[in-house]
Amino acid sequence: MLTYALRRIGLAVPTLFGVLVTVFLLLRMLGDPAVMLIPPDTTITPEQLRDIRRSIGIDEPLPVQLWLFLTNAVRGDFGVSYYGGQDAMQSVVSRLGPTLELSLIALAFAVAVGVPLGIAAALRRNSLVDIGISAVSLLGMSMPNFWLGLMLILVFGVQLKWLPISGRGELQNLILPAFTLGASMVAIVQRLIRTDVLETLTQDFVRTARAKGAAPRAVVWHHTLKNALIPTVTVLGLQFGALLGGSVVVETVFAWPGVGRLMIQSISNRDYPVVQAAVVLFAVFFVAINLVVDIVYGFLDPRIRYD
Amino acid sequence: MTRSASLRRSLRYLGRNKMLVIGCVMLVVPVVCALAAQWLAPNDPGAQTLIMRLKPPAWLGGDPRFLLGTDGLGRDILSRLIYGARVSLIVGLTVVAIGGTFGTLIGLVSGYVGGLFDAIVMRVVDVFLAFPFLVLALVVMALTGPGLGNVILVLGFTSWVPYARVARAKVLGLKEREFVEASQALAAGAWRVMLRHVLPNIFSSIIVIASSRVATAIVSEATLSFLGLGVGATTPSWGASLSDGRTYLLIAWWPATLPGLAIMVTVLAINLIGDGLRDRLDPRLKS
Repeated sequence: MLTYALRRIGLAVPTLFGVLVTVFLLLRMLGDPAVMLIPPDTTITPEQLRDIRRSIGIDEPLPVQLWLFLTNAVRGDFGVSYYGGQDAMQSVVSRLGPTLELSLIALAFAVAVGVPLGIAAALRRNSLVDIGISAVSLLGMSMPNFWLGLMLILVFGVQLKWLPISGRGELQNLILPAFTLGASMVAIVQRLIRTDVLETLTQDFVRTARAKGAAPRAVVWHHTLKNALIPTVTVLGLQFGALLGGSVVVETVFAWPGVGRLMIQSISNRDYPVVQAAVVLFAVFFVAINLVVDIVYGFLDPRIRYD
Repeated sequence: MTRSASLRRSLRYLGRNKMLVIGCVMLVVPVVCALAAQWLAPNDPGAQTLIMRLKPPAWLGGDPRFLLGTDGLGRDILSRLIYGARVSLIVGLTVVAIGGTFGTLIGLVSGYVGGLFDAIVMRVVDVFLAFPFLVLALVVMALTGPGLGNVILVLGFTSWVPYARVARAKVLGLKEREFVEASQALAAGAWRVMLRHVLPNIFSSIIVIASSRVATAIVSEATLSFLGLGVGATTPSWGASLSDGRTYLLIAWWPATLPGLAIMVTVLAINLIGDGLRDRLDPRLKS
């Protein structure tokens, strides 16, 4: 078990290295950071440009720059924001709380609603219940989350005036954004659980349990669900990444003060150090979550011992 | 089997696969809109009539010339939705064509050749999976600037991973099979074996992924355009129209609601087709 965990951690290191190199190359490939530093509508002499290049270290050859970038990145140093001069990584980290709050509530909502619906649909396969649940899921999956958010604002904020439509603070502020973010994931979780339960029900050990006269309820709860939930755990880890991506949109719609909104603002301000720090933080987070999920998976299913 | 018998069989199958049929029927509307936009649209989608700003749909007391009302700049919403179908479907199909071709080839070679190349590809896949894909697309769009071509390239080259993973997994299973070994024994070149013998056998899995990825691409384009980092202000994209409509949400519901409905219907149709195809082509997942 320990070897497996260590091996998995070992695999995450090159991934993180790759993430950093990609971010570096992406930003260098797509523009000269010195030019990006110059405020729009200002003229500048070649000497001044050279000075800027030297001051931010991009007069060096590319491999040297990459080395500098990596060594700084490992220390969490992604430069300072062009606006206000705050440490880039620090300003991103300070927004992490609201984003995690929103994502975790959305995840909890998705699991709390999606799992029972998935089980219900699988146990009553091809019934009206199953068809109804599956149809609603498909509809939920087909709805762009920013549109769902706007429609909720229209109905519950503008028409009924029940809930606030932007900002963070009270519990009521959390309801609409968390629902918006979680809705498509409810559908994904529901479909997944349904497939997994149906697949587990055809397994030999379930048939054996039935043959030995186990009560139908025990077959479902004890033999089927426990085993059907295992694959779901891994997908939930991957879905959390999609949730972080989705939070960018949902935070924008509901003016939620998280990392996603900071990123969109920084993109429109061309505040690249902050954008860079946010992308790296998202990626590190995502790698870490999947690492934990894989290790938990190894615990849940002792058969898993691949490479 | 004769051609007509196989056609009859396909039609009978289609009759049983309701999801596929409903999806295809629903998709007719956006496809026709996209193909015949210039004849169907009652107005120029870009023409602004400033004295006609935010007119409600015709049946709610709006102007009969603007059946679904006008947006904040006095542009005809119906015409913009009709032209928007073109943007969405072009993006959906080209993104899948790029990502599908690129990803399948990489997966095919990676699985077939193995060794160092395979190891490198798998690490690159890990890196791609580590980025929340929307975040990656956003950053690249911010740096390249808006435009239909840029959106297609960005979404195309960030969407190859699922195809590569599935193609590789399938190839690993196929390459020990007799028919592959037989063609290798007959001294067929690696490319010939991969393209003539392996590829046809993984094609149905690729089609299943591709069909659902069309929907993903359409939503992604709409999302990027909604955030102002998509096809650009002058192109009548559904996502961009929705973003414009958001500004007037408190005083007019139609400019934000209608483009979203268009996206939802199109994406739902494609998802239904995707589910139907999966039941047909990848029966392991059939329930």
